[in-house]
Amino acid sequence: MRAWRSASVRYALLGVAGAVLVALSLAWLGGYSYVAAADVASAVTRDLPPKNDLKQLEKKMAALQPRGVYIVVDASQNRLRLMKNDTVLREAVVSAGTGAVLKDEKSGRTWVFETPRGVRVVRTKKTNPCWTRPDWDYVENGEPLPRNWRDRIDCAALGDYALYLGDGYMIHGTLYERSLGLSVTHGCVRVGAEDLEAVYKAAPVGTKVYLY
Amino acid sequence: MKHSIPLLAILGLFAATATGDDAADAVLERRSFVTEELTAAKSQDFYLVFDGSAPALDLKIEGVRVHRFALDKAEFGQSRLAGAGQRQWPGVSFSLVSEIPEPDRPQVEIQQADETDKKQDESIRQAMAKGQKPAGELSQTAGEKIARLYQEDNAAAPMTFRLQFEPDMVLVVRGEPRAMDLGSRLRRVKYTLQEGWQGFYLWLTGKTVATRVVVYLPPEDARRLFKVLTPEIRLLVYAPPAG
Repeated sequence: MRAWRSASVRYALLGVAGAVLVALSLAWLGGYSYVAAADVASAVTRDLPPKNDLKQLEKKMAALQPRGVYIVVDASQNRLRLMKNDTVLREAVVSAGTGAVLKDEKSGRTWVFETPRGVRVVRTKKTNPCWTRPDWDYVENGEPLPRNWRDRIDCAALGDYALYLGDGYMIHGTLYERSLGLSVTHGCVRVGAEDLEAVYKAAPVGTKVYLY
Repeated sequence: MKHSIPLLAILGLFAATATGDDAADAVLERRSFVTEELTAAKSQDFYLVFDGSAPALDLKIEGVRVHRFALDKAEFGQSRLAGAGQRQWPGVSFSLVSEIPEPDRPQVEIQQADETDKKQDESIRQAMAKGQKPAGELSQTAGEKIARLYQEDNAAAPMTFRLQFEPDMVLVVRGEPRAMDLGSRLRRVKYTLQEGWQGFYLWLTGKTVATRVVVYLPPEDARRLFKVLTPEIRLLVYAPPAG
């Protein structure tokens, strides 16, 4: 009986070892053979039309590069970089959109407070800008909408400068410098006073702004 | 000695022809890449450029690099069962077919500040706008109250994920700490086994086992990469000639 038991244990162990070996072999067999990606030959399209002359193509690519300064905004990390020819002239800690949703039960309207991704252009610039408070600001603060549009003007909220990017989005100053580095805005990019002044002075109207 | 001169001349001719072919190939490779990049750049959408020699993944738009994800390692893999043969990229431009989940959007709570707080905030705002030192602090805004949720959403992004591209290619992003602990090593073993069994199953059922690229980068960068993906984002492969 004892011998039978030890034999069964032995067979069971052998079985398990065999199964593990088979499983490992299958994993190896079904797996991938890897090499460093740098050692892999590129795919070449040989039948490109003659107009795709390399020099012409590279000229076209170069023409896409922004001339002068440009702005890059990393909305997820709340960083703004003032750039020129791939060189960072200044990096600022900023505040971008929360990505949150505001729902107004009364009117049924919904707003998404997200910094838009993509390319924009500085359309206009202003010193001592005033803000016309949109409806969502009243809804968010639980205030009634004013009857007169003049009551919507707020000349304190945007700081000393604003760069307008279209569709109501701006790069502007803030009274809430304590929140720089956090995603707290309604989609605009809030910048601290010193950095904002530098950006305002360096970026003329027409400056490209890349937001991601 | 007298035979060595023609021999050297022949060898030289071969070398010149080979160098000429390499140069022509390099031009063709570059032309294929730039043609694709120009198309991507004109689309005004974000696209990724994989540079195996760096190795890096660049996030670009309109030809401008906005972010570089430096990779710790980048590997190109072919299925053993499918017969790992010619080491060549299956294309220059790929388009993402995996679905990108919509971010979780927290809802803004409507503020219920009382009149005293509002008046105090107003006087602080006026003082700050005039450049004076305010007496007190502004109340917390709705945005400040939910800022934490945005950070939590970022932290919840996956650090290891698999992206399917068309033409058939898989990009596996593995966020791994540079100093591997036991947990990371075990996860890598688990992943390798799963990958192998999956490959075996695909081969058994007669399905194509796609070429794959596995990129390794720090976990935080992997999460950031996940967050910048857009539906159908293009991936261009830049493979400069070796040497």
